[in-house]
Amino acid sequence: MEAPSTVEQIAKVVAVVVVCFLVIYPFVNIIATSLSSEAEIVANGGVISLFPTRPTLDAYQAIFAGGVVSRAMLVSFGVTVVGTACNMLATITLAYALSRPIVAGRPILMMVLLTMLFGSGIIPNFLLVNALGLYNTYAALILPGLISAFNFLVMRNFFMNLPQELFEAARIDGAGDLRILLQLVLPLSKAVLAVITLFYAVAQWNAFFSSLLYLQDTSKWPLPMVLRLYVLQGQPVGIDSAAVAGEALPSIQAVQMAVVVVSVVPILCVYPFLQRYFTKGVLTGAIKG
Amino acid sequence: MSHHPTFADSRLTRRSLIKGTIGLAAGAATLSTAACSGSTATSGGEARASTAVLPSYRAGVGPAPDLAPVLPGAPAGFLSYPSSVAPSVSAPPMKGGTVQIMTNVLQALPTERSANTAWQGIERGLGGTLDLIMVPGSDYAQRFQTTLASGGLPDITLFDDAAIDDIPAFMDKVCADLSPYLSGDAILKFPNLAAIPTIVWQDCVTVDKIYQIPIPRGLTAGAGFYNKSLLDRAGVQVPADAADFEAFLTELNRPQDGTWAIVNMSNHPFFSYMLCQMLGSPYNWRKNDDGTLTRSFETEEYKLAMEWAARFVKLGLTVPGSDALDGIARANAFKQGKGALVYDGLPAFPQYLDAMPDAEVTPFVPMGLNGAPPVTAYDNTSYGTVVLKKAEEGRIRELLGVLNYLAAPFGTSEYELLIYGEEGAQFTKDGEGNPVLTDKGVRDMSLPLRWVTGPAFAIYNRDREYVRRYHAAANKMISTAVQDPTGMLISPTSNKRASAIAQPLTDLRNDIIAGRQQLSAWDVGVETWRKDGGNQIREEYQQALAGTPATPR
Repeated sequence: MEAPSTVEQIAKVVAVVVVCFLVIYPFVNIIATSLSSEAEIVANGGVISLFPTRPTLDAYQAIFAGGVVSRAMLVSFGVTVVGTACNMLATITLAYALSRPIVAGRPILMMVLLTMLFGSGIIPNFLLVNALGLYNTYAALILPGLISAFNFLVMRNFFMNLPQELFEAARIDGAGDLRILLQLVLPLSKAVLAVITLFYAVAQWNAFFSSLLYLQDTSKWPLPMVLRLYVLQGQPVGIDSAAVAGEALPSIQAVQMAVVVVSVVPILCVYPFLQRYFTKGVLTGAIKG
Repeated sequence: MSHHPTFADSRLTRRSLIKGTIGLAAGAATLSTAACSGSTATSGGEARASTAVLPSYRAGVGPAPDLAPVLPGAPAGFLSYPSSVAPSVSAPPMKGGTVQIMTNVLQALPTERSANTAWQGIERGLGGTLDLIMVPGSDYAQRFQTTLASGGLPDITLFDDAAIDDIPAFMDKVCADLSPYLSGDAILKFPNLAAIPTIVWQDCVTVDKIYQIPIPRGLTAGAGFYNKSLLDRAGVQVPADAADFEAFLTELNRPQDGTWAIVNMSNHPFFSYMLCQMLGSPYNWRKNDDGTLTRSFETEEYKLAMEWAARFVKLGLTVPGSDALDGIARANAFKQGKGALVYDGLPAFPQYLDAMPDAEVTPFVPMGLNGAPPVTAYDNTSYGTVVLKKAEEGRIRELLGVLNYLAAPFGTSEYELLIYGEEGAQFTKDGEGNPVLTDKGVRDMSLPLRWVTGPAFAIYNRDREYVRRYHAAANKMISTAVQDPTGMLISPTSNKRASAIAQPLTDLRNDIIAGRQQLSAWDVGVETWRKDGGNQIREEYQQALAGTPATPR
């Protein structure tokens, strides 16, 4: 293959730099604004271009003061870990069972697939959760979305593409279904497991609507619910004009940007470790078969 | 829930349309008089005299204001905090048990109950457990509908009129009829509720009954603010007559220095709140001497205001590009000193004072044209209302007692606890005796109880100049305020189509002000509105006003 010319290489580098800039700049701007004072944000028309002249952590202090956000973070971590574990357990077992040639599995498969076509609606869901006694419990965040039909299909397809000979050999060696699943299928499916785990974990971390509907007690709110108050309401933190504050409050915009940083960072930390599985896991599960 | 609706052409909310009755005669002079029946109202499409009687007004306890209101019930001003506060409620309204309240929360969440001594103190004052269901304001409608569908409304619920299609049926089937407890002098058993101005109770009537308790606000949304330091720099003062307004703006406009006369924002609120009020455009509808009605945008005053607004934009008197700004960007531009005038609601006043200590920010009060008075409006009477779940009489009285506690006026010990918390924990007092929230206070006192109910609006701040300016502006605007003559009438056509047929006009108006359309296009747009249902709406309102049967709904 002919080596690219210098001009081509320069063009590629420029293109990559431009794309990187377009992706990274909003993050830089968000971080810079979150570290700025109200005066500086106003003086710059709401946009801190690169870094504030006098960085301050006021916005972060405002968010974490009082323990509401810290508690919500703990709740979110807990719900994400437990919820994802439950999601994976249910999805793996169902996908494995339905990837085997069992005639009885067909109605169950149809039932799962139907959920992709017809949602039951907010109010019936609410009534069901209420009737099951899950209202105002963490289980209401986990159980209604225990199995995602899309994730299930990706995983089932992946399992079906594993060589049949391996299963036959394992059976001849006397392995049962549980052993085949644990010692054969799962070790061979790391890519799809990583991807589906990521899908579930991100969904659990971002889960906001179910907590809005099902959680009455604000001390049980996960992070997205609490943070939405800061981002969407556009209100000063902790006080309004009816009361007199002791000192200047942090800028609303700085607090909003700090909230974005707080909510994005945990996922950004996890993503690089799973990213290498991403393409392989999704493509293998979704296309082959 | 009503926030700050747009003036003059889009203020017909569903709530204002479905209200039944109000015997309150329009006009500022009757602001606090007891209501009487006698005017027209409709029920199920039938126009007739109402049987509902609004609650009587009786001034509340608490210190005498330093700045008296222009009318009883209008905002009073307090230049200092009372050195001692007395209770307004003699005994806790509850005898144990729990009251469950669902409302929206527009701030950060408060510290949870176990660590929030102010919350615990309020529970001691109430004599029972205060169970608050806090829902983010932006998601309230969905939560309200879901809760309603599950059949489990809490004891007291912030009512969301936009989430209900058939409000009379909802009120009848789900909510407690409060008329026996609140109509006329019956309300005097709940003296703090009785101190809420009568005009605010208009928001609480559906058909013939009182179903709701208001969350009072300052009656007027204001007409924006001006940066006095920029006026001083230009050597001008706010003119006494609107005829001099353009010359005033021209003097202020200094693009070469990066300063313009007006900070605009999307939907041109300087047109709606400043010019329309200055030039006498009616508040939604005008009742003519012959009993007919004219919609605001059918009037010459409205057209004149549009002509002025378009000319101001063309002359470059508004900050370039500011007609696309959102609320925060608009506030930023004003704080930066880019413009001398801006529209924002009066409640935003402290925000500007804090950010612009040297600018002498002052509320703008519209002036009339050629000696005529301006036409201001009662456009911020309440934030919204709460409803009570049906229950037996004793429980309803108990819940009204809770709301009476929450409506304690400024300067009482209950008000202090509800707003500032407990001294030493949530607040301390500065050298002049003003309560100042501690860090813990800032975190604890975002309890959303001010979106449940409250007292008549009082103006107090440790910045006395703020109190003086706010009081002067609010009361001056209230002295010229008018009510919408159709506010309490039902028009089925309006219910169904008012928003849809008014939207093209709003778009056209925005195009005309921005210079994308000629003013001559306006009459064609209004004619289309009339044919699309405007005339039908007018006819129905006129029938209701005249007491003849309207079209059944």
